[in-house]
Amino acid sequence: MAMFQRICLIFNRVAGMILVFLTLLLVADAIGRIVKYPVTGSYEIVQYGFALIVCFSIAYTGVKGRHITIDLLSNRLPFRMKNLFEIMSQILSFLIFILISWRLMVDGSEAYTLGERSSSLEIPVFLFKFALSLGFTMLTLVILLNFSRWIGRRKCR
Amino acid sequence: MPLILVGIFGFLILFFLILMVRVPIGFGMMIVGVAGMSYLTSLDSAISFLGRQVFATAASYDMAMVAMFIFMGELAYHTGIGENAYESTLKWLGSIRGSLAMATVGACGAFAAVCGSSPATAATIGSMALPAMKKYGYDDSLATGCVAAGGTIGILIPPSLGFILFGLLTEQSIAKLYLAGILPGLLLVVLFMMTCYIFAGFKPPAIAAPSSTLREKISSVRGLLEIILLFVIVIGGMGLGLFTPTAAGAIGAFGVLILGLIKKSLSWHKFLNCLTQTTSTVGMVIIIFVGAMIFNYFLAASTLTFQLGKWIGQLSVPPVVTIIAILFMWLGLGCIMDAVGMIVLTVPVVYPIIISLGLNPIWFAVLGVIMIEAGLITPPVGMNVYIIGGIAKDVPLNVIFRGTFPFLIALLICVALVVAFPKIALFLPSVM
Repeated sequence: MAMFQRICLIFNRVAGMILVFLTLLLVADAIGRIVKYPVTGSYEIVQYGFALIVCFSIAYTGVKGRHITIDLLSNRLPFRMKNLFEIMSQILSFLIFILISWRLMVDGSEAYTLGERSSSLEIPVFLFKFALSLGFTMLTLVILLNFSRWIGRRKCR
Repeated sequence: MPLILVGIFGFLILFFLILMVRVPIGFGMMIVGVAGMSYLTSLDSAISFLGRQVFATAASYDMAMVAMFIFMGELAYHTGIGENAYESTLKWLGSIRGSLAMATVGACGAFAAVCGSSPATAATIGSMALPAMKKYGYDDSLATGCVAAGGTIGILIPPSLGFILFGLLTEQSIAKLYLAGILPGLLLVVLFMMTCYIFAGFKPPAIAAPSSTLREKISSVRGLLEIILLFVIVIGGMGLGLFTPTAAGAIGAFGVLILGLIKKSLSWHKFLNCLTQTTSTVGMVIIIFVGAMIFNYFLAASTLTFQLGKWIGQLSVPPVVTIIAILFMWLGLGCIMDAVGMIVLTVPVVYPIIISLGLNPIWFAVLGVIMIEAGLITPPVGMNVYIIGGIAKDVPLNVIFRGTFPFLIALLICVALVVAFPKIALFLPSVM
């Protein structure tokens, strides 16, 4: 568990580094445009760079429990019902993200077969679809681990 | 089943999932959106749309703007760029009744010009202003109330995460939305300051703040200059079309970073913290945004939004009544929901209505953002009140909520003024 959280944190650090790189690139490009020397392909680099930020950051968002929930009514439910709903919530979340990971993998393979590339720098698009699939797989694992921890806590009680 | 009923069911299931089952809002919208679209079209096309939408949202130059402005706000929060704003406003107000509370509001307004998040604005200014107000014997409810309410200005004066989400969901120009937020933001600062003045008349502080000389006043402005300069470059450059909103966010973040390095107020540890906070917030926003896009698509396919717009358009009530009804709905939703959730859930439904009534979407977005501010200070879920509660640990939450009440009235007056005089919001976008 601790090991996995560490991996998520390392992923998050990578996302941070890409963010710094994109910030500098955008500043350079903005200045470049004013003096008529824009950075070639900056639009695409930012576009795909942001995809990598998403890929490397969403798992850590799950680890930190930053996804917005509304606790107001659910807190007042009877204990048993609350437990039942908690199980339901975890299963539904797990299903939707495993679906996304799988679909991105399929889309990635298609992009690979078709040789899909970005228009100006000709970056292969499948790489980013696979990367996002990896990011969502990590998030799915976070959900699974949180769920197993939650069950562990119930047993202790 | 008629299409529109499928849409209504979808909404009911979504509310059940997020309110009772405690599914995160973004996840819930994805689940209901995919399930609904599978029902209306086919499972295959729903899942393939899901995959395409995730990629389109993540690999997007426009969405990168979200990361840039959040980064700018995080840097502003961690470098203490707001400290000078507080001192400077206080020097100018001197010993006027309630000057410390008024300076707090003023500083919130100034800090809002570099930070697009309300809780971050409340936390930054609160950590300086609350101890000062305590020292001068300010009433707890006034002190905490003015910071919690003042902080809400963070999302009205650009940059603003609220306007970014509005713009991305409705395909409106972010630059125009930002410009539209400036005058209502300044109006709100004035209204909040007046509230502080009146409030302090009922609960006078024990000690008046010392007055300062003209020389001190003028030299204190230097501290404000950096914020003003940054604001003019970022928002002005964007308004004049010199650079894209995404580049404007990056320039803003870079500017704050340089200021932090010059002032030596940004350690390596703080910088890493900024990055972690920014990227994990980005993860949260992306998930909720993908959810919103999928859910919207489902709603459109169910014809619910179209039918609702048509039905309201045929009602024989003046548009202003519809607007007031929407404002009240937001006020109610703001009590139980946070800002991002409220925008992504309601805008897709309400926006077509606004368009069918022939109302200005920019003006409407400004009203929406002000109502989100109200949601940040109304019980039981008032994010800013919780933030201030975390800083002023000895003040109970109900005292803070009581303190924000007069400011809530001021906020509603501001909404009423913007409804009555749309020019307050639309003047700047029309001249730039």
